[in-house]
Amino acid sequence: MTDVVEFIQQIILDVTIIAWVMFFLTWVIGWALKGSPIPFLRVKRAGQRFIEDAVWAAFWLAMGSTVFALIAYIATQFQQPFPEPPTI
Amino acid sequence: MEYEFLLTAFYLSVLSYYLGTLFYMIPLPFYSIKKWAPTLMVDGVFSATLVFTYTIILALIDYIGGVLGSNWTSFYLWIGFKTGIVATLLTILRIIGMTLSMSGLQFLANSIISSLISILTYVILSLLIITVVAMIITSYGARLLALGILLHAVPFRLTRASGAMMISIVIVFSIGLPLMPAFVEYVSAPLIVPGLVVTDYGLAYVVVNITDTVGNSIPYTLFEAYRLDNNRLLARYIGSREGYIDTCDPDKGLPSSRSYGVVVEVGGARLVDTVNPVEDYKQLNNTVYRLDLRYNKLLSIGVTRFIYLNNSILKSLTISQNHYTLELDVDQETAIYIVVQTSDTVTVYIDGYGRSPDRTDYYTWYGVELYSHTYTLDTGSHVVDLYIVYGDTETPEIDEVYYLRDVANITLTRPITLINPIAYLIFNLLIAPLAYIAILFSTSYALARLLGGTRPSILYAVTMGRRIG
Repeated sequence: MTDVVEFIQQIILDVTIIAWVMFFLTWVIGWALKGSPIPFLRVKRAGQRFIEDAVWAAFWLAMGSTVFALIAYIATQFQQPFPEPPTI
Repeated sequence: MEYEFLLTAFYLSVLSYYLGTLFYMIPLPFYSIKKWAPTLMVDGVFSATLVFTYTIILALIDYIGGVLGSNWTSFYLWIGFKTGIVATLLTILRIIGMTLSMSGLQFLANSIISSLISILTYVILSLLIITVVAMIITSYGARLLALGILLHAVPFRLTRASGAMMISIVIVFSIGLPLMPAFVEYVSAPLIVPGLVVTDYGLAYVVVNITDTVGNSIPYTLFEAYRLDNNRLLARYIGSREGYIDTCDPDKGLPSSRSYGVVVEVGGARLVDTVNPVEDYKQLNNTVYRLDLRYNKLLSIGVTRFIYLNNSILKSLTISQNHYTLELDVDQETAIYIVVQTSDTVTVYIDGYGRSPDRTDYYTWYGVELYSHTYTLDTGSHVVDLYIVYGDTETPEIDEVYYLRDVANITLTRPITLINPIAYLIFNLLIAPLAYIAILFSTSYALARLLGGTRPSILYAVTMGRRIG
């Protein structure tokens, strides 16, 4: 079971690295499309969408560890003993 | 083991989240890939939340169970008791079936008894399966919960539905299954419960042999069986002239699983004893048992004629034509009773001297007129010579009470008396529990949809920005 955990951790690391590279790539492609002299609005809109999604995704990527730490914090807060059950 | 599952589940949810962000930034304008992105991210967050609430869920199960009054011990006791009842009933039906086929009523055995046996087998099967499910939930509940969380956390929703189902089954069944006895009794309460004495006391076909102090069978004995707890009559039979009480008729029978009190009476002399069927019945063949009872203080000298030895001990006995010679040892002054029918003539010599009785009582025992002659003997050894001239022999007339027909109210030639209580039992133990299990399953399914089906729309909107679609 620990091999599986290590394997998954390795994949997470790989995915994070690929994501950062992908962010940079998409951002560049987005700006390239946006600024290109192709006279189709659809192309410019596609470029705009790439840029937005890439930045938004990069934000969530960076916030990833914070999100999970927040969940852990809230969950531990809820581990207080429950109130006494109502006696009938 | 659970910790490893939870660790794996946590890392899987992290992976799902990061895959979601990766899919978000892929520079390809294909909607089908892009729509996975927020799904993966939200799924990751949700699964991570589940991982952290593992202990909270376990505590919640105990808490809600306590509020509702779930108690596993009482559940196991209830289901064990009911399984025992059905098992006893199966054995009894088999015995009745065999006895019916032996007495020529094979068609009854084939049609009714075998269908009742087959449906009771289904009942006992379902009860045992429910017991196994309960044991699995109690022993492996926490482990199954961790496994369910692991399956829930797998990215791309591959096993999310099964994981959610597993989690909700563990939660719902842990809380709800111990409440099944309360539900079943609540549903069955309005029905009139036909008493099933047979499941309490069992049924056996027994040949009872009552012997006197030298081992001869006593003719025409009255045999009564009583419940030990409230002294109610279970059976009353009269023995034959040969001294056997044959209860092998399909309507007769005797209890077989619990001890019961016994009163043996002949001509007014009573023997009170307790019979434990498990120890005292000897097996004659497949269906018939034998019970031997010894009446030590009695010496039989004919039909409803006997000598009640009281506290004296019989050393030897010589019998010739109508002449009995007894050698008795008396420890302390005791009275012996010689009981004969009124038409008999009796002459008694004690130690060689003719003696008339100290006292003679006249009474009637179930239509038989008897004289009881009392002779007091001093301490020491005595020789009693008894000459008897037999007159007309009367036989006692007793209303018998059959165990199966009268006390258990089951007449085999009227099958409805047997089918009625069993139909109630089938409802109580097969239909009601299965209905309750169906309720629990539908609740688990609804909870599983809650855990694995809908998307929380707020999170969805936040991660997608202003775009929904």
